[in-house]
Amino acid sequence: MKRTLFILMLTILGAVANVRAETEEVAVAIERFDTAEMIVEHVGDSYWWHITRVGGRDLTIFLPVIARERDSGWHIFSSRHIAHGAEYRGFRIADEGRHRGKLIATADGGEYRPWDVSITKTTFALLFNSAVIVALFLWVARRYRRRSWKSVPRGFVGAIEMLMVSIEDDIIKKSIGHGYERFSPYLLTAFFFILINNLMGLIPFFPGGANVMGNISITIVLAFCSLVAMNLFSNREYWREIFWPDAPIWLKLPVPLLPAIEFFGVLSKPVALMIRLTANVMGGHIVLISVTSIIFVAATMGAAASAGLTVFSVIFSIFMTAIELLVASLQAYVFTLLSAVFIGLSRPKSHKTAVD
Amino acid sequence: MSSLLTPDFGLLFWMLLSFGAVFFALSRWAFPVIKRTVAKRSDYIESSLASADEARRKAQDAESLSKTITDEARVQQAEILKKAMSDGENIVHSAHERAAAERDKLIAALHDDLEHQREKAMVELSGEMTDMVLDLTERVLRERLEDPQRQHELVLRMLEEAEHTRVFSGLPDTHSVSPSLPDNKI
Repeated sequence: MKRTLFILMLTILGAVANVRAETEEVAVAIERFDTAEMIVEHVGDSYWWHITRVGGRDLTIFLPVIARERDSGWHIFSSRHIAHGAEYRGFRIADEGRHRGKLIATADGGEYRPWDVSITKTTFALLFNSAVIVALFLWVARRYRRRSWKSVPRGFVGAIEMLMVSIEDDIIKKSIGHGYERFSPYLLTAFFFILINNLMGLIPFFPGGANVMGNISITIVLAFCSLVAMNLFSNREYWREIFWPDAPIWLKLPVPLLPAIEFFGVLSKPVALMIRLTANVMGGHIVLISVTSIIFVAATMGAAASAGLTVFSVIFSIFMTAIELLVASLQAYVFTLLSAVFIGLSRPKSHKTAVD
Repeated sequence: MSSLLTPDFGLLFWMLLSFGAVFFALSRWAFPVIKRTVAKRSDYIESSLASADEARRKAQDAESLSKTITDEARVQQAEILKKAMSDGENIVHSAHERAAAERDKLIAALHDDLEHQREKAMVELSGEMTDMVLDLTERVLRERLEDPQRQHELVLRMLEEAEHTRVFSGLPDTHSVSPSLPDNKI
């Protein structure tokens, strides 16, 4: 381990030294390095995926733009056409304003945000990760079909089974209780969906590294699904406790103070789920990129400071990556656990039944 | 950064679509298969554990039964040994008693036989003595007719022979059984 770390440090030091010794253009680029811009670029969404820079050229995958213009209808084209501020078919990417970094359409001298279902970097990662999840589970299911049910699986298949059984038995069954089977597929899907997206986000190269779960649009959908599961399958007692709770009458009439608070609780639960997941994952990504960017910031500070800070950056990045691995699993676990608990709370037993 | 915290229609659409597809695929083709297999294995393990418990219980019962049987056998063995020893003692005792009775019976029979033999011998001797007395009487009477001295000698000689015969045959003294022959009457 020590030897590997030493080799890694030497490699990075060498890389930094090489960067410094390269062309004047690179030196200028380092001097112009903007940490905030890099963080936004890596954490934010984009219409193309910049993979790396090889021989002075950027290796970028331009993703398809799918948008609807008011007059001409739907358009599908490569984002190459709108890269570097170019305009194509009345579309371009806003470089300032409320829609900065988003696709906008120009019509009649004005600009507006069109219906945009483009395959962005986050969308591409989302679709790729979803395909990975489906492929992995279908492969696991195929292994189960082909092998005798008596044979105990090992390795990855065993890990999947262990996770599934522990999530179902320790979280879903215990939190929801009777009738947990109805919610089990959703909660298991949510767990593995968050886990695999988080883990893929920690891979520092294509097709990993995208900040999928750190995007509020993604977690909104998950929170909405939990909201539906909580309220659509709840019982009469749950709604009675919200709109006519067991409390003094003056808290309910003439101003329905307590029902309002209870109803606010119905909405705040999924919102809490959504913000917690987004903030944790995005925070992790930002910390990791910030720590890594120390190398580039230190490159302009002289050899000694550069080397020292680079070593610090590498060690801290490894530590943070380990923490992020934990956070990735923990956030999937917490989202599933809280969703299960909220679903369980939405199916209370009536006082009469409880007394009986 | 604000784009991350502002919901985007495109992302919402693709997220709904992809999450829905993943949910559909997993809940239809993956989770049921895995759960079914796990449930089967779980049932198998539970039934195996139940069988093992049953077997353990049976083994304990068998062990308990075996212990009971062994204890009973030991008790029976002790009783049998005790009874056998008692029977043996009884048999030996009765054998001794029977032997003693047989011995006594044999001894009594021998005594009876001896008594009988003796009586028979006495009867025979008495007969012989009678014959001898008759013979002597006959001879005496015959000698008396010839010579009294000789008759007296003859009687004496006959008496001596009789005494000699008694001694050799182990009979009791003839004087106690044979009538004394006064000289004057002969």
